[in-house]
Amino acid sequence: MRTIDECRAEVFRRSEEKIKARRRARVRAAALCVPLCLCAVIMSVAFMLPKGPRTEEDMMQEDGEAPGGASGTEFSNDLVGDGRDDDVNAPGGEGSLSVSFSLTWGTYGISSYDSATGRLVKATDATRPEDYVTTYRLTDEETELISELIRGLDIDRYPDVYDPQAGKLGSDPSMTLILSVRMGAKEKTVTAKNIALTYESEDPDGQLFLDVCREIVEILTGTEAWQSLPEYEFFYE
Amino acid sequence: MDNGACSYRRFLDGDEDAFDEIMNEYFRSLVFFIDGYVHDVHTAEDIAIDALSDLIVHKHRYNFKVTLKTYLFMIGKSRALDFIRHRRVIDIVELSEARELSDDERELEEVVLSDERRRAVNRAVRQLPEDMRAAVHLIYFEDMTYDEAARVMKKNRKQVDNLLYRAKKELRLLLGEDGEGLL
Repeated sequence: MRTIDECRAEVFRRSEEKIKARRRARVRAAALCVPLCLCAVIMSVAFMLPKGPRTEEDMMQEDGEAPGGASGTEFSNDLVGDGRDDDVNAPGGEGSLSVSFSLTWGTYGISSYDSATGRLVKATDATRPEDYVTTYRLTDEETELISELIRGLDIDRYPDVYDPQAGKLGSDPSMTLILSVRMGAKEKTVTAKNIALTYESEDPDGQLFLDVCREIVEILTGTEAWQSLPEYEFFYE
Repeated sequence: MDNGACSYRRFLDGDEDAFDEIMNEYFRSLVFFIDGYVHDVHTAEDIAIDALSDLIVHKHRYNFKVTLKTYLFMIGKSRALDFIRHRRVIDIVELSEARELSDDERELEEVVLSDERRRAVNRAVRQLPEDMRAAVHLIYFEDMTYDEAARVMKKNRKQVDNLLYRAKKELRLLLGEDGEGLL
């Protein structure tokens, strides 16, 4: 048996390692997000450039769509947006989410959050499930962080039903991840079921998806609102 | 007043010596408790170290609504069960058989249970099914309340009560007439 001093040193050593690993994961997610954002912006701009010389009819149409007009701003086909977020910001001003999202996670998908309604659910399988629900509005900082993560993901690239681990990894129990991103009338949902609890994938796109979901989960479970909910009633063994 | 919670608050405020108090207070007991699940002192130490490092890495997860001891034991139990699941080893312990303690386990038992009487009871308790063993351990050896033990075991108070009732019946059989005075 080790002495208490040795064990204490080991506690601090492991803590440092875990903190460094978490920072590396965030840097990796950001490093993946930046070039993907750039690609998304370039593709959006390329798509929106006029294909030929503008005709008189085009100019008359543009005059009719003045700012504040009924037809409003053109939406990019890219659900995430091209950086022109001002017209589609939700009320709340600077730092508001230009898209709204919902995420379901956990063993059998018992936890969830919807940014549009603020509904935060810790467990749906409790004896009194109403005790495990609260309302929480993301702070500006959290909103900005999650927006960056979602923009970097480019969710349109993923199929509606997705296996980030390509059936190669598994665990029992497994978890469910359902990420929905909404902008205006457009919505994209990616559903991943029966995933290993390790958040690991051998596929870079799959790893990115898992990393983004895990980062969002960590933000949500680190909030005071989450902490104030009761402890889980059941443990899935 | 929960001394552990006070120490942890001081640690969060920057007093690193406060973490030493937490280690001295809870570490060996936690290892002893986890050892009841994994049956290996070194693995139990490892898991306990991981549980304590969670206090440093995830500082905002502990909400001070339960005692620090309860929180640590909850993490310890979860991690022990995770370890068992990944190891995929099934231990079947029959009531009529007693697994001999290793030297390390004997040493740990002597550190945590200074009283020979409690050690004798512990040896009988180790023969009980897992849930009964955990309930007896938390209530009698760790002096937890029924509510605290229920939180650690993720059961309700009534279930803990039933487990203790059945555990006492089994212990009477295991310890016999002479041993009944130890309970």
